[in-house]
Amino acid sequence: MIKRFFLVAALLCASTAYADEEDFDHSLQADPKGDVEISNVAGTVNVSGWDRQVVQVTGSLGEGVERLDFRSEGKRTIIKVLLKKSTHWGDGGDADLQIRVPAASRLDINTVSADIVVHDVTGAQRLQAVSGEVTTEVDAEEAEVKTVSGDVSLRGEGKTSVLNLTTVSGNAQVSHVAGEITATTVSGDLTLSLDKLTRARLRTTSGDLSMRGAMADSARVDGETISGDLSFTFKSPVDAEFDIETFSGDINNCFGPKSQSKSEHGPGRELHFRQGAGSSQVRVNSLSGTISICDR
Amino acid sequence: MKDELHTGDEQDDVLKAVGQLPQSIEPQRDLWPDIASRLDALVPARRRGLQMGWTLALAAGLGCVALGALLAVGVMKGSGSSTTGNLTAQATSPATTALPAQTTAPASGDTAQVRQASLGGYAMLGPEYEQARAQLLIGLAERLDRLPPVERQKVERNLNEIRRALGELNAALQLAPNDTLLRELLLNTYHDELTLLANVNQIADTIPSRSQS
Amino acid sequence: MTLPPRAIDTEQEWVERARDGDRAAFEQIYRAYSGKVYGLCLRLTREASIAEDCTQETFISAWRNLNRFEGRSALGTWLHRIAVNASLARGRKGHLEVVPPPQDDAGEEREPSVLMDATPPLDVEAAIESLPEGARHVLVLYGIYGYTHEEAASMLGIAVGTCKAQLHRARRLLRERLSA
Repeated sequence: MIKRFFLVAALLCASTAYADEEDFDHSLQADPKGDVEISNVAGTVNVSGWDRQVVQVTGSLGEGVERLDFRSEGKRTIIKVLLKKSTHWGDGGDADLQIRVPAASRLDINTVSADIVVHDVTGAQRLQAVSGEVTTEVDAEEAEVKTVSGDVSLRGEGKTSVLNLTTVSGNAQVSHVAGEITATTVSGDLTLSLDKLTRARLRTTSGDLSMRGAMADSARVDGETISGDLSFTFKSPVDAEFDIETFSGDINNCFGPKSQSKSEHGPGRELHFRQGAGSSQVRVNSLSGTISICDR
Repeated sequence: MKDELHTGDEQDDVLKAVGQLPQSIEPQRDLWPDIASRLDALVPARRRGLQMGWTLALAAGLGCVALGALLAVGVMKGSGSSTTGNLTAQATSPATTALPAQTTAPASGDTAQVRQASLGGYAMLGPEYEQARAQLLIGLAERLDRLPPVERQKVERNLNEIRRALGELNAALQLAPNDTLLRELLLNTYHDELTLLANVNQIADTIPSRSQS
Repeated sequence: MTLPPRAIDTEQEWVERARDGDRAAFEQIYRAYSGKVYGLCLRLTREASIAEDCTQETFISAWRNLNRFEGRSALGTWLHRIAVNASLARGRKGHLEVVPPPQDDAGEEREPSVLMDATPPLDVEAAIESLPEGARHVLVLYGIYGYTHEEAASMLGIAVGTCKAQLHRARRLLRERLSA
């Protein structure tokens, strides 16, 4: 039997909400630029920004949920799903939450398998899931997304920001992000489509990476992989120094210069060349992965 | 050590069957080259000549939060010649792929010079690194337990992925001990392992708790 | 300083020369005992890559601590003590599964036990691997490697009574699983 209840925006309240009080409606006033911390195990977390200074939570809770902890502490609003002690993984502990927050709120969301969806929030985001999928729009100066195996789909607004993306095996698709990006994965695949890049630090152990984007003046791109394939497509005109090195992988370069052996007798290939005035720097290393560089 | 069955156990068919199992199982590959490399790390710094600038701050205990607060880059101590006998604190060497047969007879010239570039194990990265890693590993098993079983397997699989990469790098360094690219990749991959451990610890720490009521 | 290689007849000579820094002598020790050390590590940890780590650590520690080996026990026993410590330090809890090979999310399969390639009887080795950690450790030390309860308890850091109880449990579980 699924408990279903609705928490409707209305009153000032700073106390904890309990899911089993079906006639208890909750909403909380919130600072327009406050912090909203959301914690859920399974189900969904769907957050959208609005122009009211209120945090509203609606949703449904599975049988395995003990209660929903919903309270504010100063400028922090806390929404936390608490499971019953007896609830095990995949055993009715789902909570589907629809949350509306002041648009400029800073979000801090942690889930296990619950998917995270965020849109129309302009504050900084810190999103973390174990296996849940993360889908977000970023319109802030900074965003951090971490998953173990959950896939990530992140779309920016082309504004300069600092993005930090980490997955263990989850795949990630990033688009319309500008500024600085740090993306790290062990075995996930990363697909990045960037607007104006100032700095990129990209690392994979075995995952593949495909980056497409334009470099700002004096941009710096550092890519490294052990056995994944790295593919870079830079928007023309390209104005960069390239330093590419691999121990046992291949180097494909459509700009012209071919890679050469590092030494007469040993393994390793390298490619150093300048395109245009060379104001930016692109440095890519691999142990055995293939590195491809091209323009469009 | 005794090779015979315990007196009085002959009547126990289970113990009899267990006693017939081979005591010796050869590893799938020769571990001596890696061991020898790590023993080289115990040679005093003045003989090694490998200078790297890398410092690792000790992981902030069980409550490690963000990686940026956890790890810092500094100067790696040149000497790995710690004489600590504390086995529980010992870092483990990475799983490595099969290596070509290696002679252990001293090569012409300075053996230490030839071996120095092969980092060959966590001990080479200095006691601070080992401490940070050991600290993260202490909490790892408990934190992995907090994850759903499927996710725990994925983390372990990816840790093994990194350790396989370390093995490949160490194997490559055997062939090209002075290759700076390999050394850089190796150090970064050791760092990747620490990063993964710290991230897993941090993610597990934030997993929603169960009600106390 | 490494002495020129020469014929080494006894284990005692290997130890004495290794104490003096003779790497070749220490390699002889490794060659003689790597199988027994690895075999123990593998059965305690149940995972080949971890067992390799533990084996390496065992010999590294042995090299560092050779001056503490007084010869009162056999060299193999001393190495096994170090190996047990290394395995316990790296040990996982009994319910952790063998890590499967990289696969897509669908269709993951468990990697075959690394002991499946051991000599027969296949079932016994696999059955031992399936035992809970405490029972397995005692059974391996007592049943395969022939240590007494006192020795096994000392290695594992448990009471002799606990060791005996774990062995009893191991035998019962093994009998059930082998007859299943």
